[in-house]
Amino acid sequence: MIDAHAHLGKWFNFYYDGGDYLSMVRIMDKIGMKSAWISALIGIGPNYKLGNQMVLEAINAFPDRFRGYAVLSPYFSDEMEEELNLRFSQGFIGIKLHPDTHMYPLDGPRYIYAYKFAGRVRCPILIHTWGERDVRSLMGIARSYPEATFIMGHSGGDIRSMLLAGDMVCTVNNVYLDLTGSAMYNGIIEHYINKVGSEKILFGTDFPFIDPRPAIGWVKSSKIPEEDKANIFCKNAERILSLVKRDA
Amino acid sequence: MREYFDFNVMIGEPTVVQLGKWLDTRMLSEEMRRFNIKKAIAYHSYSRDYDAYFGNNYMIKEITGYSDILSCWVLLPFDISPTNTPDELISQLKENNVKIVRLFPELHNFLLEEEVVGDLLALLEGYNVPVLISPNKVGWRDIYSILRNHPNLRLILVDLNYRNSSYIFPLLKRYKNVYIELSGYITYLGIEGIYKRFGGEHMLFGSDLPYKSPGTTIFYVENAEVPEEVKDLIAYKNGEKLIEEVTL
Repeated sequence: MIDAHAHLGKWFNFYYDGGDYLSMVRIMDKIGMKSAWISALIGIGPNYKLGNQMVLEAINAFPDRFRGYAVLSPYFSDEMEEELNLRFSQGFIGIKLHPDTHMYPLDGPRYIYAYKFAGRVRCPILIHTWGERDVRSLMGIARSYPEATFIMGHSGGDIRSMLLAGDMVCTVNNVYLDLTGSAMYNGIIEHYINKVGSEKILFGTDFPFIDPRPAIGWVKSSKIPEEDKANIFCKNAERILSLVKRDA
Repeated sequence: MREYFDFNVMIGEPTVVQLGKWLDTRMLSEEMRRFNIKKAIAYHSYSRDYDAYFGNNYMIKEITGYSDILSCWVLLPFDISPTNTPDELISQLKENNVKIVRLFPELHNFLLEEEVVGDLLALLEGYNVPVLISPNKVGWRDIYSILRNHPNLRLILVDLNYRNSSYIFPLLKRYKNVYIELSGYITYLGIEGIYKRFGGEHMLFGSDLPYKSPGTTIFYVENAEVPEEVKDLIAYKNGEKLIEEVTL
């Protein structure tokens, strides 16, 4: 099992115990989670560089259990090239953008370097989406950068947007639907399987922002074939990882 | 496989049928068998989305012959209720073997002020009748206010979310009859956090069917870092005790 949408650390406006990488590994061991692809919560908040450094420390401590997303800030777009070169030389595997917390549209020009980089390196780029506008914007960007692999964070989030995402994702080859979200709508997994097939769906939980266990139970108890669950839980993420070019 | 007692189920077609998911009693029974849910407390969608007392009476007919489904009545303040005296209400609850109730102030447009629901809550408090309520919809200040006025009320907080610990902990510290229904409380290490601070007696299993799959919360409970006997409390025993202690 691979969690393709996980985090590290604390969040500013609500409380939970733990959030450090040691507590995460303990839970991962308990539930059989092989690895988590993480970005630091402070990174999508006030300090992306500090966040990326915290992720590096987690990777160095548990190289088999964590993979890193480098978070970028649209307010420091002139630093993106240097930051991405540094982080990918340190073993990061993808890019994380959070247009919502940064209050900057995902199709704005300050993200262009990130999209070009992701296309060149063929790395996954996980983008938080919430609402129909975000879904449509991400689809437009994905068509413009066909070499990049886009993970539509939360698949649009609310139910209407998730349904729209399912309708739109089948029109391109480079966008994955991310199951991460607190609602865990009963029936959406089965709907997506019918609509886009299990090869376009990724397992994610927001761990430790949200506990990963309910989402695992949600997928495990869905009424879909076991091979589809294997694609969602693991195989799709492994395939995405195999595309990343280290020498680009 | 552990037995479960589900405290959060709706049967009947709601106004908005999301992803085709709704349950009649036969469908609910199938879901209960699938997840080893031995008893479920359910309210009717008509009580929420049409008329509380029409739905309550409809519910009684719906569950005839289903001894494992307990009716949860949706109540209104006495001033706007056809059951407009305490004696009448108690007599109807007894007659229909109803041992738990739910309030939807946010949907049915009444305030949780003492002038509006004080007499109703005092009555339920006196008979140990548990009351389900969704604090994220009515507002947490109202929950605190209710409990200041009715400190012995058996209040079950439903439809929680992962941001709620800061509201929940002070209530569990002060009021011995507050219970947390777990289907929405997907806070990281949330079950462990409540157990560590307050013990295992204040958590109840709930599925939020038809909106969520029981598999989400069951996997969370089964994989919680708490003793097995605490999982038994959460899964069944706490709920059973609550219903047994009703003095109607």
